[in-house]
Amino acid sequence: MVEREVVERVARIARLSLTAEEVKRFTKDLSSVLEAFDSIGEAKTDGVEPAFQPFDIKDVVREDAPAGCLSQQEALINAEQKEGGFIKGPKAV
Amino acid sequence: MDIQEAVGEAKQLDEKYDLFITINESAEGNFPIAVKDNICTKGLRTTAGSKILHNYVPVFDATVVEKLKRSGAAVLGKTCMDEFGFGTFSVNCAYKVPKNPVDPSRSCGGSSGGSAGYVAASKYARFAIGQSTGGSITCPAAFCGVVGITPTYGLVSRYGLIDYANSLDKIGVLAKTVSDAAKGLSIISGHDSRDSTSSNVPAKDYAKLQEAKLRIGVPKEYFEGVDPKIAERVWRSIKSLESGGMKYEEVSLPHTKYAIPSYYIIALSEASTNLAKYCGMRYGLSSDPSGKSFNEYFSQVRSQGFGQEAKRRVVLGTYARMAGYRDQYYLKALKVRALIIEDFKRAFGEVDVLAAPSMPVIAPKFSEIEKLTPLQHYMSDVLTVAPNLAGIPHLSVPCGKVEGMPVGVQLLADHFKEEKAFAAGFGVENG
Amino acid sequence: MVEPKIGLEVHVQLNTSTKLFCPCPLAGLAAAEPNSLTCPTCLGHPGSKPVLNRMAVEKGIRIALALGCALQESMYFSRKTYFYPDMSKNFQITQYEIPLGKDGGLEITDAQGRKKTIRITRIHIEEDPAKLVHAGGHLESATHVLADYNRSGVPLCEIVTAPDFQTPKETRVFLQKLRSILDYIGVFDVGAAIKADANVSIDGGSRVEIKNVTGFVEVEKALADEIMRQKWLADDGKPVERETRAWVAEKRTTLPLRKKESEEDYGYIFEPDLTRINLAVALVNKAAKGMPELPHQKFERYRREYGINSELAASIVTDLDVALLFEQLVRSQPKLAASWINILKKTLYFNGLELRQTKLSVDTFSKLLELVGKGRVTSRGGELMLRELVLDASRFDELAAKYSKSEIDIGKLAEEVLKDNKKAVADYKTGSRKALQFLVGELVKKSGGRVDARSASKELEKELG
Repeated sequence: MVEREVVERVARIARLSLTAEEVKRFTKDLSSVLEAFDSIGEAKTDGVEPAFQPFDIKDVVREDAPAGCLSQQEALINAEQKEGGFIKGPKAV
Repeated sequence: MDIQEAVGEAKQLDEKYDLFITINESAEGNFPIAVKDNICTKGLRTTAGSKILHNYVPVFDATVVEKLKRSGAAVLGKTCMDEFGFGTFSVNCAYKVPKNPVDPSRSCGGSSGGSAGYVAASKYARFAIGQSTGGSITCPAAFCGVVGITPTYGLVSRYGLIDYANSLDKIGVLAKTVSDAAKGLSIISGHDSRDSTSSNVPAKDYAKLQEAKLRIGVPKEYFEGVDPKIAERVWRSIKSLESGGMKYEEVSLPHTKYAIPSYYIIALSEASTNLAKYCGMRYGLSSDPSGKSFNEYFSQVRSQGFGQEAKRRVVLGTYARMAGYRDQYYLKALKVRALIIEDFKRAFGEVDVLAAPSMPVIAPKFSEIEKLTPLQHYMSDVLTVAPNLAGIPHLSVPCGKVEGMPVGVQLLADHFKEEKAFAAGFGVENG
Repeated sequence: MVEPKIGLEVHVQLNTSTKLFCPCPLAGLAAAEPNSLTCPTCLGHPGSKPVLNRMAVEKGIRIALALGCALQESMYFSRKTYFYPDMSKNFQITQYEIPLGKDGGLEITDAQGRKKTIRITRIHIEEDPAKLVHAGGHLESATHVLADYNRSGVPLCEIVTAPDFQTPKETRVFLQKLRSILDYIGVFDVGAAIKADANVSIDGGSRVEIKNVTGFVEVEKALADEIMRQKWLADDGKPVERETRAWVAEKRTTLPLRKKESEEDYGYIFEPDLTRINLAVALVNKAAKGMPELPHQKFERYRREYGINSELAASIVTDLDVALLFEQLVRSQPKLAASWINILKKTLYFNGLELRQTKLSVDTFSKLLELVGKGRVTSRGGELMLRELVLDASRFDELAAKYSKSEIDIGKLAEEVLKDNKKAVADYKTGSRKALQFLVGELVKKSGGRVDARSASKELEKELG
């Protein structure tokens, strides 16, 4: 069972301002989903390495050779909030 | 072929079935192609089905789009999908919900619903581009009665694919026939230095690779809880392969029962980080940030821009990787994933191809989908998540109808053994 | 009182040609127009993907080897998720569970002259965020921020120490030594700033983090200030709270950061867009081959091969350019090289210069030593020449002419000195040695250093009969 406060904290960490209705709904959903998902706890995984990709892929790197950049105009084309070549954002506090 | 005719048809089909988020009226090329809307197209709006990207116009083409254009394809539209791929029925799209051309009161399946519906209904298109994280090609292929190939992880470059879960995402093809699917895959596969997980396995002409004698495995776990009428259709396909000279045997994939939790925990952990970038800066939905603290502004934009299911999945995924729960969920799920991969490796030591139902049910009516709880919704992916977790190639091929709706059989092969899945697919198609 | 316990997290910008995960160039970054050195990857555009820069890994390995770290067999990258306006993706690609290197150390000398090893806990590679301009004021008073993503994705190496420092001074000694090593192994441009976060506790109290201090002088100041604050609290019987504070250089004090940030949960996951990097094979060998002789190795060799005293040897090895100059000079001028390098260092220090900022070449410096060695210029004259050469090396010929002994008539100068200093001459005649010393000094001065004391004395004694 997940507490409402936990959902509220998760939402804060994820920067979602949820309505009271959403908090209630997600608390219920999260509880029932986790209850079902807790079954993985039964799987015997002692000594099993986590598979963070479907198979081992290794040593993929690129050479340190510069390539072309976007123009400033291209870099800003998708930004609605901009000012003097910069991308505008909210206060950092 | 006159591409404008194909564009005209796409508009008509869109009016009827709500298949496209954006139609490209100025498409040029030799043959029409529709692309799932989470694949970047330079200068053509790409939303991933989300309101938060309602105005995103990529400054670059995805590698698959480059390859398609080079082969003469005209990208005539971007197809409907569940927001960021978050769904099994394409009902979680911020723009419109695609309807199944076989029965418009039913779902196309998801999340590549628009691409599947378009291929099913169009008389011009031979194939369309879809993408699967946990079954988003197989499911709509089965529901719409088309062929769907989900290739080995890394065979097709993900460069330009808007991420759902990077360790699971695969771009693939929805097609009229097995041969069309094979041709489509040959065009889009091949190494790409811009995607670190892109494999070095060269693109092959899959349509020409025929393997005569295959050993077929039938995983017993994949028939539990399946509509018996669907199971019967699938068994009929397996028997037809047998009469074509292939041998079959029953096999077991014992960790299948853990596939749903393992899949959802990994997929949502990754997804919740991928969605962090949408915050009202650089691109996408925004408002004037002046005077607002970043916490306030980011929360406001994200809450406006994400749909219910996206929010739900961000909450679940954030929870699963948080300190205190991370070992129990995220890391545990990765270990269980290793067990599921091992299951397949063991099976492929014995057999060449595994055959199973694509989906446990036929395409549900929208009225039925409304009644599903989130958990029931997630559980409908029970037959597709394990092959996706393992990153093995799997092909869904139509194998008859139940209650007038298409049914699919999925044919799974070992990593980079696409040709075996196709060979079995030709057998089912001709059987 | 128990000594303070201080630990550092040092951030070093690696001097690669391109960013960590995309091929955007780093050259000209400081002066570039905002958002003119970006691509979809460092802007965090949907659909973009990172690809790791091989050179950043190699340079990271060099640092790990130079600091005696155990290299991990494989390393992985992770996503550290947190929201901030300077982030292009609201997660940073960094290393978490399995960093590049672990368990190294760097030896420094403490205030009592004792050697002590500062343990290095871990070394990892990560990306830098964008640069923010706080529009309409500073951090607190700004109405909004302006983001420039040119910096986004610049490769950083983070070096984390154990809390082994006992005084702020030791951190400066450590950072100077570290900087010199990083310069030696060619991974860092000395012009770039070293940034650090510091943590400090006194009397076994709570640990306070000080964020984002630039330069080792500032680190020392910030720590001194923070230790003072903690002592005052202790004197008032107040507890030190466990918190994170920011160093505000202009105010020369630390200020508390918002408590809210402590609720952040990074929720680390493996970075699924990058692959495992096997460090055990090719990369390590390649990086190890590129490893030059390190400062402490040079120190030992100078002592052994050239018999230089340890103070001078230590002084030479701190700056790679100076050490390289010394190694070239010592071949042609084995007797003069060490002492003249010492003079050079003092001259540079006096002018607040680094060798690399001057145009002084090995060639010019050798020519100077040759003049001194062959007695064409006096030692004093050589020193005076050097003072001018560090400011403008192109004046060598002109200065050589000016200070050359052959250019002057010593007899005439001596006559003038005697004429101008009648009293001293009289004193000398009564037997005063001091008077002679005075006259010698006057003659050297009058010659502008071109005459040395010995020749001056000889000439004066001749004139005085």
